[in-house]
Amino acid sequence: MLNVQELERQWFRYKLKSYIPKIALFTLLVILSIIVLLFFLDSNSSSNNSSHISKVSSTPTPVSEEKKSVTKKTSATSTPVPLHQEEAVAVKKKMNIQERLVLQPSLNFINSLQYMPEESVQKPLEKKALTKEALIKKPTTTKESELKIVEHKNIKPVIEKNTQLEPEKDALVLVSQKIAPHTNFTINVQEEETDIQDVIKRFHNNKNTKLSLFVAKRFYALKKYKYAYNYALMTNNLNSDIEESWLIAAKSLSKLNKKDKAISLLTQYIDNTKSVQATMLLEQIKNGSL
Amino acid sequence: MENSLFSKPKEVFLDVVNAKDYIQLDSVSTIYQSLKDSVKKPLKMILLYGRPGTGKSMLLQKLYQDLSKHQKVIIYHTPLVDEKEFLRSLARDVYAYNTDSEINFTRFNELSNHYNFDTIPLVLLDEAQLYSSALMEKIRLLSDSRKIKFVITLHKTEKEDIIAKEHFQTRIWESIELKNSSCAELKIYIQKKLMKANCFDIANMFDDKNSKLIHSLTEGNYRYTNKLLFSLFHILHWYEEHQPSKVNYQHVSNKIIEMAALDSGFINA
Amino acid sequence: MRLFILVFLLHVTLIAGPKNKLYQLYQEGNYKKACRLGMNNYPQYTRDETFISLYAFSCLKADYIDRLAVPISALKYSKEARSNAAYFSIILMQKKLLYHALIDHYDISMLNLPTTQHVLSKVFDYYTKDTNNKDSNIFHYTDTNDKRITYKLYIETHPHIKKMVIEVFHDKILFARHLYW
Repeated sequence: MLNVQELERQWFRYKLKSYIPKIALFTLLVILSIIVLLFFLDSNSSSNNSSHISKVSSTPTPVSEEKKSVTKKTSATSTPVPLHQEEAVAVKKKMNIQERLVLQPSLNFINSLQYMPEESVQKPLEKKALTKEALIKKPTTTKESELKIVEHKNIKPVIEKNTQLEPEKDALVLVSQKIAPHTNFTINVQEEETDIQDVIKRFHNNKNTKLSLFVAKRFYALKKYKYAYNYALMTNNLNSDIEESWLIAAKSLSKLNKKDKAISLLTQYIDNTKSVQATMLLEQIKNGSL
Repeated sequence: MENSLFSKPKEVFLDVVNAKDYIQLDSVSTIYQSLKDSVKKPLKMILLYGRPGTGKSMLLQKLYQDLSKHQKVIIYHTPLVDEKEFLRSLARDVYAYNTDSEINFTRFNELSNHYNFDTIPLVLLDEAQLYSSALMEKIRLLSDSRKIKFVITLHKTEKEDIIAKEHFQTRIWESIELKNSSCAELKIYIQKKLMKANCFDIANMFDDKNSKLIHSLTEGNYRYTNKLLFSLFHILHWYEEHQPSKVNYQHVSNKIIEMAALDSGFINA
Repeated sequence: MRLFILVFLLHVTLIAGPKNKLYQLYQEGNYKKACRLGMNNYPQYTRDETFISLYAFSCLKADYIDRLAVPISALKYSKEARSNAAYFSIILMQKKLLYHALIDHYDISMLNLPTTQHVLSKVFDYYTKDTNNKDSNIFHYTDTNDKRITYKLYIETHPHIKKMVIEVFHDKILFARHLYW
């Protein structure tokens, strides 16, 4: 009697049994491949470690009396490992072939060196302002008179915007000659210091040589020859073609009783440019008539 | 269900030896032709051997059908193990000598001397491995007398190999081996068998994968194949009656074949 | 009175803060003074890398190589500072190694370090590449970039310490003399 349901069940069992060897074989293959892969990876990592160890070190260790050895560094650790002489020779040959690393110094940080009014500087300035007021009595000038004088005194062909204050200086000098000495007037040095600092800040932002030149001139006028020299030098560093900054620098050095340096600076500049004004200034410095 | 699609194919694969159901296959045809040629030769005995289910009985039957029109041919499908009964049957069938008494070998010889034929009578003995050694010896002696020509079929087992060697190696005889069919031949066998029965649609349901599976299960043995396919169509018939949705009329699934194999004992679950 | 005030004013203007003073000394080429000034005022400028860099360069130019140790450790907050710190550290290391090699006959021929254009680095490189016998006391090297410049390396014994001398010659004329210990 045919029992199809039973046959179906039997068939299902038969199919399961038939798949078991296939599954077992597949599992075996997977396990074998994993083992092979692990073995392969393990052998690779061990070969990499040995290559790291063979690289050259950078620092030697203290030497014993009997034997000298060169240490080597691994990439992972910093503790030195002794190296045989033969390996060291082989390594040295290898390194000779490689290019040497040459380190260069960087002096760009000097550009960031700006005049920063410090506490030790500020106090003397205030004192200076007061003493100036006491010593130098100059009349205050009206703007009209200044303007008049400007018209007369406008000799220089190139007048820059920043040098608007310059005529004022000249005007001050002239006025002092005209006005009677008993007239009281004061010079507000504090305000000029503030102006200079503003200009300095602006120069710090945009590195404009005109600003640095102005500052140098202002300091020179204020007889702060050190600062005048510094700013003239900064101007020269930024743009070596500005004659005025060279002249200011030389004048400042001369005022600081460093005639030799001033002369050598001007000589160098004259050799390069054949400047007439520089030659004249050089003569003045040599004569001592500055 | 009488008008089931699978009832007729089921009958096709009933394991019955019928010459009408003979399927001509290339290898078998070659063998059959050599068998026919061998019969014409002045040989005393022809041995047809092969494993059970390779078509020996079918070939013998076919030979009987083909030759009986032209000459005296006797076929014994089942062996007559009793010697006296065998001789009496032989006397009756070959020489038309009917007697109720026993006929011994001497008497049979005398009988054979009395009768002459144009062509030596041909006796086809199937399943000859069932004959006793003594009877086999008598058959050998009869063939030596050239009064009767024997064609015997023998299962190719170790024991039968020994019999074949011992009894017949000194005689001039021919042995023809029948083997199991190949995969391709088996497919042709199945399809031809079905087409002979006008089951063309069923014949087209079998593809190479099916025949490959059947061949692996039956080893190409015709008897086993008949058995398996009978069971296959029996199962399909059941599905057709009870679960027609599961029946695929385009293609025979290997699942059904494996179920048939389980039913037939070719697979042990 | 006026004279006193003027002198006082000049002195005051000259002081102008340690940082500016340092810059001023550096520009004047007064490196020894600048280095000393930097060392003394360092506590006030521990985070001012400009000050520290300037003081370090002053010490370098003054051949006070050992005084680079503090700036080396302090310069680390900007890229330029770190670069300069590496630069100083190479020179310091080379000076120490060369000094040790000359006095103790330590073999430094295997070393292949990063180098600089400083005279100490150049002489160090020439010394390490020199395959001749190092038993002699005086070593002469010619600059590979300018054949007119030669270097003379030797140890000078002083009462309390041995000093390493590097003399630089331009066309056989002594151009510079560096003393390290």
